[in-house]
Amino acid sequence: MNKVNFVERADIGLGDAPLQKNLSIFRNFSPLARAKTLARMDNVEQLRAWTKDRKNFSLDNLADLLEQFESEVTKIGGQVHWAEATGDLNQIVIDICQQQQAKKIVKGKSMVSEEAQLTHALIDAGFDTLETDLGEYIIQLAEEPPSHIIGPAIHKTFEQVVELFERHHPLGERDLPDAKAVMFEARQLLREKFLEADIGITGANYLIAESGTVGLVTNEGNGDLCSSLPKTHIVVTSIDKIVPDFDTAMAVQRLLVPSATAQDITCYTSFYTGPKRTDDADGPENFHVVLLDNKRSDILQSKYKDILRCIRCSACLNHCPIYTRTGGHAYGDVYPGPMGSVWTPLLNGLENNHDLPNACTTCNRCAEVCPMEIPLPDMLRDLRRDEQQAGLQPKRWTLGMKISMWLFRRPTLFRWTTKLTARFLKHRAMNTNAVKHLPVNNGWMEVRDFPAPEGDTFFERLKKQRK
Amino acid sequence: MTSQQSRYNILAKLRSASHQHQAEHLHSEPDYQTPRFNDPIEQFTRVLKAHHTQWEIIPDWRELPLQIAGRLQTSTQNTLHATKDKRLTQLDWQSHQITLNHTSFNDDHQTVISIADVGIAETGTLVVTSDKNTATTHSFLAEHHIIVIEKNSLVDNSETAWKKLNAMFKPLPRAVNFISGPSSSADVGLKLEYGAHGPRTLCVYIVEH
Repeated sequence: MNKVNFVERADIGLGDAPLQKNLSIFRNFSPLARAKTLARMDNVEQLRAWTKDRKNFSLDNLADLLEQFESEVTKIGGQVHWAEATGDLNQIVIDICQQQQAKKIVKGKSMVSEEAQLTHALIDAGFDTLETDLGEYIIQLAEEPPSHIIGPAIHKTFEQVVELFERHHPLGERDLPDAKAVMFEARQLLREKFLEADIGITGANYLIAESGTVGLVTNEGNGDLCSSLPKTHIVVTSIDKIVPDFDTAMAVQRLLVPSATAQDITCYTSFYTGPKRTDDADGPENFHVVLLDNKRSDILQSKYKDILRCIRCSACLNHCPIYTRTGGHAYGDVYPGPMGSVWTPLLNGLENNHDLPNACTTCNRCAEVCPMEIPLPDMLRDLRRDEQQAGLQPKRWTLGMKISMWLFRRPTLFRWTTKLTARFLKHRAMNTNAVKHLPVNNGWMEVRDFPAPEGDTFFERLKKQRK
Repeated sequence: MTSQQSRYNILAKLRSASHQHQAEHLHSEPDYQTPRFNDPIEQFTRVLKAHHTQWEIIPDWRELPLQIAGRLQTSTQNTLHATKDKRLTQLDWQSHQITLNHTSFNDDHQTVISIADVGIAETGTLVVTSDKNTATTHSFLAEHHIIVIEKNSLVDNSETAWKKLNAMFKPLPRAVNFISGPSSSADVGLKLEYGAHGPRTLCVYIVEH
């Protein structure tokens, strides 16, 4: 449970100058790049509708599709494990590693593993566990959680990354003058780790039921080294990633990549089916897939079922006026932004995260850009309603709402109140167009002026116009 | 909780939540338009260029050693890690002072040559699959990657590619890798750079006949 709330964490983000530097580049660049890529596609709306329909079909037939997937994986020599809670997932992975008498583990990026805090669990169990996605590697060095679901280290500036490498790598006299040099430095060190590893762990972008295939969408190639170099490949993923067939997987792919990184395709899109075949030149001897539920089967039965269509593309984060100002750490958990404000209360309990659905301006951009047409603002509103009904809202907020409701129900009094307030503010502005000081909301007024009313209220103007 | 108990609980919950099974919809053909091209080669090479990939069209396989010798002259390299495929092994590499190596990887500065089973024009993608001759890891450990593809292996889009792959292989190979450019990352200071964990460069030879 988070001791501090969203507002306090957001304050930290807003005051973090390097973070603000990165976010200002990111929020301007990312939506434009996505729009440019989507403009090259002439079938987006049809594709969205078909894919949404196929994902809904997958959710309606989850049990059958998961069993089909399991049967296909088993047929080809792999093993499927089921984890009801995150602790179960960690224990299954630890057991496999112990059975293999493994010491060294390399990991690709996986949000499910972040959800389960798998890396920490493995390190605590005594395994030398290394994140190999460059972004994940950077935040592992910094001992920080990811701040974005696609670019976990987008909150780190180049200078901060160099500082981390200087602290953790034996650089000697060597300089790291640019991003390329940093990347090659990590490449060299991690290459050795890949070659020494006993176990490779990856996530999955989708699971294809018809063939028992795991789809992995990456740019760096680390996921593929994790999948193919060590003797054992473990895929950690969640039950909502299942699709029936390759056509659906390709449709998801067509929407996922432009929405996530504004590319038409990533450098590597890989499909892994089972362990090494008897005469294959290489590949893991053992292939395990761990399927995590962690409340998803409850969500399926709730009014929040649509969130299970989420393909973790990050378009909603990249377009959110709140996320792109506060950064991801303000959300206090692994899934930030609008999708995180829905996922986190559902996974970890509304009582611990009820401030998150309030981190919303109701601007609707997230719903517009979501490739799976998830009604995120509606869900956030429903969660706020749940919050209110559960009596979780702060007392001051509830009191304010009660006073407002009392006033709104008395039209004459409401009109008099707004009239007096408008006159008062106009007087306070002292013939300028802005009020500089108010006896309330000092935090807000510190950095802003309040626009001065012109004198008349809306109702007064309407009355005059009608005359 | 054991995996078996979890399996039982999860499936029971999913069954109670799920709608009626719609077996007739288990497979449904996409109703959106997938891109088609009058000149797939033109599209393929245009996207390869956009993906920082060099390319060359050669009339036939026999031309390949000469072309690659030209590339390797820029370095001291004379060994190629190669897929043990007859189309490569029967070529005359010796006259161009090139040795093909089919065994393990023991040098960090390697050039690897692979053959793609399928190419996708829309996205400039090379599909490389694992088998007894092709090591998947070589495609990702290589410093420089060369991929050869026959012109008639090109298809318009990924949906068609999967139809072809599913017809070619039963069961599927362990690894089917769609490769669309050299490896890259923008994780350091939001700057896109090539050569993350996989190859720093990618070069494609398209064999016409």
